[in-house]
Amino acid sequence: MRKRNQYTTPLILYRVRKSLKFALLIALLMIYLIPIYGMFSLAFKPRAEIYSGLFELTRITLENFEEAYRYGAYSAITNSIIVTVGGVSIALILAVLASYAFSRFAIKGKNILMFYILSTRMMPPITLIIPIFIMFFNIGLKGTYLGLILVYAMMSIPLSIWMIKSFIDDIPKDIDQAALVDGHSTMFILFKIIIPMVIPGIAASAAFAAIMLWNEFLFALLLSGVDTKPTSVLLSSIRGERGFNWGRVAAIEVVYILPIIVLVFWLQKYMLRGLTFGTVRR
Amino acid sequence: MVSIKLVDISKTFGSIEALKNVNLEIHDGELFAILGPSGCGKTTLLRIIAGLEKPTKGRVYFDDIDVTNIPAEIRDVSMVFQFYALYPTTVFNNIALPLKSKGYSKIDIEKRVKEIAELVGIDKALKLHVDKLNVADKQKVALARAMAKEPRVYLFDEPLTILDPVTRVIMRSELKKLQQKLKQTIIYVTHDQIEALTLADRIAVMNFGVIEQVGTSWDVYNLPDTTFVGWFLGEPGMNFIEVAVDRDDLSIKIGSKKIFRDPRVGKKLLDLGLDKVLLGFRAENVVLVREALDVNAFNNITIDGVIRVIEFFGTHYVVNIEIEGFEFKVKLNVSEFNKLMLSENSKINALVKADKVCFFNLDNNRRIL
Amino acid sequence: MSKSEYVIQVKNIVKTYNGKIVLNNISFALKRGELLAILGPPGSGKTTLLKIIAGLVKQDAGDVIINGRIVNDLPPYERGVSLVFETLALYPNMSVYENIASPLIAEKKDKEYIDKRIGEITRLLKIEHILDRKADKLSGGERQRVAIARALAKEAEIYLLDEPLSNLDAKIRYALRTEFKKLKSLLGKTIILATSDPSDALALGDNVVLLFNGAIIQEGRPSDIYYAPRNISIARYLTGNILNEVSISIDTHGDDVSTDIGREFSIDPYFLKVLREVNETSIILTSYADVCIIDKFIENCSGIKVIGEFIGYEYRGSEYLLYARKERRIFRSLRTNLPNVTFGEKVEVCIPHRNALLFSSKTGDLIR
Repeated sequence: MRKRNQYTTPLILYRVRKSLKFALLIALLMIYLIPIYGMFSLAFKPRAEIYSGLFELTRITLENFEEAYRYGAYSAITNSIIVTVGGVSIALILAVLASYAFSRFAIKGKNILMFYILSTRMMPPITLIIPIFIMFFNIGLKGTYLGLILVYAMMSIPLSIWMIKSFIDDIPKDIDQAALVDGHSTMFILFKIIIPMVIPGIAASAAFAAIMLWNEFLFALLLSGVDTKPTSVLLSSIRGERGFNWGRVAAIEVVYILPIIVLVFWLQKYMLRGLTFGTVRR
Repeated sequence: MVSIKLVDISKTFGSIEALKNVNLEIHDGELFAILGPSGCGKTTLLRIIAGLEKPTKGRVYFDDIDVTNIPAEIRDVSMVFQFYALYPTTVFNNIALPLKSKGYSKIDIEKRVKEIAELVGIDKALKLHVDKLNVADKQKVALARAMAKEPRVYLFDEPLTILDPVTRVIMRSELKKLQQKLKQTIIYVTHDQIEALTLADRIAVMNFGVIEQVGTSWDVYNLPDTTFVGWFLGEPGMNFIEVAVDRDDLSIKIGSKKIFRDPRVGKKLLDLGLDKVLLGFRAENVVLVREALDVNAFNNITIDGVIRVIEFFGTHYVVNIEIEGFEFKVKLNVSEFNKLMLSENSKINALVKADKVCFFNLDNNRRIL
Repeated sequence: MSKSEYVIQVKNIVKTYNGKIVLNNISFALKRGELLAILGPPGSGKTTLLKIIAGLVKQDAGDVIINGRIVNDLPPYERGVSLVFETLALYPNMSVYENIASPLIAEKKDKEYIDKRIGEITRLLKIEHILDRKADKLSGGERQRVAIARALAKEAEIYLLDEPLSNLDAKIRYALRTEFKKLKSLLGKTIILATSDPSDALALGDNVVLLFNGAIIQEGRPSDIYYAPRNISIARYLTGNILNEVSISIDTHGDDVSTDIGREFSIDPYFLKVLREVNETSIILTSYADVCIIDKFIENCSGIKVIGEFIGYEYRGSEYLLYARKERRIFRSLRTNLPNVTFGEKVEVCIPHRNALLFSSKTGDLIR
């Protein structure tokens, strides 16, 4: 036991205050975590115990996952991956080229053009759905991967351009000029110097676009076919033979949510910078 | 008021060792400066004293009470930063706030605020909003607020850096006067050697997480314990030349050139088992002459070299002289320089008084003589 | 090709941005192996001037002539210039080696040549041990050296350096400055260096061009500029705006002398005679800190003496810089010892007329 000194009483008070704050934080955190726990719990629960209480997990089983596989979840997840990766890839290639031009070249009406590109995202998507549906139906893109990928690329480009441009803007123009004095070409400057420096920005906008497309429902519902149906559409159409099969739904949800969780944890520091459009330094 | 003792303090951030086994005693009522280049660990040390950072190893004592585990909020210290963080309200409210949270009565608060404001010289601005103040007065408010906390120790993290040079000089004088009056313990972290040399009762010079020397301004400047301290203080820093002791006549040589004949120094070095050492001397202690040197004089180190670079600084010249592949700097005032009519790549003779030189161990860079 | 004795000539360069004149009729010329320091406060147009010479910014009027050839319409890499940017502009994702090799790769040199050249330059700049490190993992001094090395790697007619020593610790700055001067005489390169720090320009320049608000206001050797600044704003700039100054007014008959810091002053009779001969009614007497004297008592002052208030000092190890105040004037004196005065006490301040500079109050121009 330490000797009593002038710090003894304040220290006790300090610790009490600190513990109370901590307890409050835990309580708040629970509000967010409990539903997620519930989903995992349902997914791993035997079918017979589904209605026995959400939080009691006495026995872990994979039968819900087997059921989900039989139901076609595997191909739905694959479809989700194909359309997401396809959409993000096309969007990024175009966005990188466009944002370098917007950042570095003197283009007439640059600001208006930049705003126009962003404004395409302000329109409610539902207003576009009918013309696109008719267009795709007539040229045979309805129900194909390519159709959905093209729409997804269009949806992701505006934000990607804005985000990547803000990262390129952060690179001092002196670096481009130094390369010019050295005698390098514009292509060399873009691919060997600028792009390697904005990898974090590209990663961030890829992550945001991927999350948006992965969760997209409206276009997927109308433009995908039986074989190209992504997970979001599948989940909405699940109905059991006898009532709702909660275990199956939860199992698909778990598989559906995991890539996003991994992506967010993996890229979180880049995404944070992306959210602030490059203004917060690493 | 408090004396502070740091025992075997180490701090690591990941794989980076910010502080390595720091031991330090700061006396009660002392203005103590911690001086070092950026990244030397001085701010980490200050934060450990404040309790904002926990040492990986070692203990912190205030008047023999172990405060290592006492959090900053209740450790009873005040910090003043480079950028004053004032509340956007009047000067009075800024100073009164710490008193309010200490539970003073309204009348007492009024009285204390007035007292403190008078001490730091902002009593006329009490009713003003802090936005209306100039930089120097804002920093004074920050200081006054720190004083209102009635802390046991003041910790200053380069609080004067943002001021203009003249205001900085005046603030230093005022701070020193205030400190002599209040006899408070102040720890002052800075990278500016002039600030440390001018203000501090004692200075700790730090480098790479290690305290290289603790001493008065005069000590650290004239008798540096290590070559780092010699190099870091002064503009230009101390000159260092590798020299050898001649075993036959005990003279000191640069390469093959004998520069110092006093056998007592040579003997002392040989007795310590050192036949190669670093000779250190300051640029302003060198005298340049055109005439031939009296190589047999015992009281002077004599070097004949070649001028390599001349730099003009307005109030003075700095001349770089080469001898046997080594270089040293000489600081000359303008009239001396003009008298000698020096030019680059010409020969010149240099004299250094024997009592103005130091010798350093080549292996650990510590001063021997 | 001896069309011209000058490696570079800049003739009547004019540049405006949004109607504001950034460079106004700039002309100078530089011989082979010379170092010209362009000295001016931030925003005076130094960077723009260097970028015009390099071909990164286009001038509105005037010519850049390199080796007798007008290069106005040539792109940067055909001008034979090499540039160190103020921001250094290292390629952060590349190694030190790749950075320095960059201009050589652009010139399509073979690997053997590149290795040899990088070996030479990095040895000279003492960075051969960090070749494999990535450029964003370097300390301030290392970054500076790598930027200089990259510029030197290119065989150029002229090397342009924009604030090459800024953003460095005072200590490293000092060391690098000396090293740089040595390097310059060793390599014999023609260099234009832009800086806002007077000591860089004075210590390094063979010649100095003073650029204020986009115009050249004086040029000459460092000591000429320091000891005969053409007007008072130059003298103030050279001392970081802490020049010792007193305004002196003399009435037309030369009987009555007054100053802007009160009537309590004494003036040396000989100096008074000098003042009358100047034939100006209002003069600013100035001196640098090493000339001015501040002490408790000054017996013989061969100039003007006033009584001021001691406001503090800076201890620099080898000397003291004393500060005194009289009315709104601040005086500084560089001494080797500290007089026995404390903060707020009265002290005597003497500005000797020898080595002092006299400026006209009206125009600010140097009288003597």
